[in-house]
Amino acid sequence: MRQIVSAIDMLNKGVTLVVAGLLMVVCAAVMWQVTVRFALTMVGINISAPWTEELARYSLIWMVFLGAGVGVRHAQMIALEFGVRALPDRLGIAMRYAAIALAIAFFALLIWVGLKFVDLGRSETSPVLGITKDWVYWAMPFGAALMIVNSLALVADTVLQGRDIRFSADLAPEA
Amino acid sequence: MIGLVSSLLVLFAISVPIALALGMASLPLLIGKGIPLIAVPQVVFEALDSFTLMALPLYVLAGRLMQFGGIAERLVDLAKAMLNWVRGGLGAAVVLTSMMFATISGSSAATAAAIGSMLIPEMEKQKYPRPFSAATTASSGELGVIIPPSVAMVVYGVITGVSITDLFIAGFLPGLMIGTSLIATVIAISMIKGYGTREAFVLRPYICGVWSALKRALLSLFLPVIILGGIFGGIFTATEAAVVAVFYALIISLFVYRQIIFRDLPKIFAGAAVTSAVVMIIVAFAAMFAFALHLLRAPQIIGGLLTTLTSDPMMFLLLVNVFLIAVGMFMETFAAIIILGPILAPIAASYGIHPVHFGMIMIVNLAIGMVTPPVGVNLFIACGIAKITMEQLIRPLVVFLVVLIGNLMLITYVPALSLALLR
Repeated sequence: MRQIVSAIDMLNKGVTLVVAGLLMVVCAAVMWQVTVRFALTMVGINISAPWTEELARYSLIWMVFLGAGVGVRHAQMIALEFGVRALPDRLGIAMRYAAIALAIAFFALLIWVGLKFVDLGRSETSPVLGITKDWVYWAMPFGAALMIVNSLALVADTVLQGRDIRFSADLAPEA
Repeated sequence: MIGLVSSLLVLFAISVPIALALGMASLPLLIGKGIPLIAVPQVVFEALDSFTLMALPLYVLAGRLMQFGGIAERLVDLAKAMLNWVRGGLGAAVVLTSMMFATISGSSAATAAAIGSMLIPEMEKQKYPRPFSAATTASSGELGVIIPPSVAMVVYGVITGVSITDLFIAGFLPGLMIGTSLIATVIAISMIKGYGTREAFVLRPYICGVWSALKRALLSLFLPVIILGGIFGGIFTATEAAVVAVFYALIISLFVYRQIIFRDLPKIFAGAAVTSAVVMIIVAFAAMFAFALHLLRAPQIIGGLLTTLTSDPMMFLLLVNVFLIAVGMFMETFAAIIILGPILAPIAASYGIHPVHFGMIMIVNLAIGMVTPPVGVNLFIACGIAKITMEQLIRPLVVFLVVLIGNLMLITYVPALSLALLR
């Protein structure tokens, strides 16, 4: 069990780097767009870079799903936790687990409809980059799968360490 | 509609993450109306596929770079040099630095964290009580989303279709007013209670001190000039200004101040990306909820109910403010804006309230929500830095809350504060 959790955390380390990389791509692409629009036009070079916006938007979509996926590992997805924290321990903890179970069911649904959407995306081409849209749409099933894995890792880790699941967000590493 | 809202509230209450609760609560309705579930990814991707929304992670990132790259530090030094001759000057410097920081960063949490971690320990040395320092930091942190640029305004604009540039411009005077009144509050309390120390005012050393701090901070101060000048002058969009801010902050932190090195970047970027992702995933699923509300014609129905309650826009604004303060106590600011913005904005428009003015009211109100217990992100941050409990914080906080609510009332009933600078 412990090995599985640490394997998942290795995976999360990797995904975190990817997420950081995606934000760098967003920055670079938007910056390039600004540069082309202002600086190069000013010195008389007229090139346009319509691909930058598309690249930035698609990277952002992946960044959101993967970033939220990583966030699930330490219950960083924003939730109203004061309610369950204020309740008597047993009831509050039971509710928190019920919430996690519901979330996992919802993630499973997202994988299912997400995969159907990926199928649709295969016949759709992005206007500028010319890639098929399934490249973008994979973000949802992939992110949802990561969220399931991380929900399970969160529960496993909490049980192994004998912690109170309601307070796992407080243990999130300083971001 | 009652079914939709009550299932949402139950899901919130058992601590289902807000993003997921919004999606889950909408499902039964979609299924009931015979809408194929493929609409879910469709709506979600459409909400995320936005160039404007990109400003959000970029402003979060700019705030982090300032926090770690030495910009925040220089702004703090400047504010301290300017205010060391008044009693309570260090506390006032917290507010002043937050104001300067807010002209570059768009986020309150980053503002409170950066400034609190530098100034709360110093206030401790000058014998300010820690709860007072924490209350000052928490309440001035909210300026981060009121003084432009602002992540909250980006979210509001994306979700309601109000021009983000207009919102930025509208935030300027209210932000200045709130900042000034907070400075006055800090100084007044410090004088009454005898907090802190002051240095004798001697003109020459004072000017020398301010001058040298100004020189050190000059490159940092140039940043708001680019951002605000660019946005107000109509040269940049909010997203473009954000990316320019990121690159400017990167260059001066890496090459001029040399306070971060290339190896630090993945961690800083990852932190900003995850922080933004957990907000943006709410935006994504809120689109699903908005779709469900739209199917139910909810804004029209609620609007109709409200109009039977009162036809007076003044009364309507009062009701909205009371309601939003109550919501802000429990709900995270962005979540509240995302859920309630699309419902309330059209109703306000039907009362003849200027959309930008109403946006300002919502943002200022829900920003106060960051400082109202039991749930307020700035309170958590300030308590964490000052190592005090929430209960200890409440007493000194009350005065600040009264001042903030006073400001809110002025902003609500004096539309010119928000609209005067708009063209």
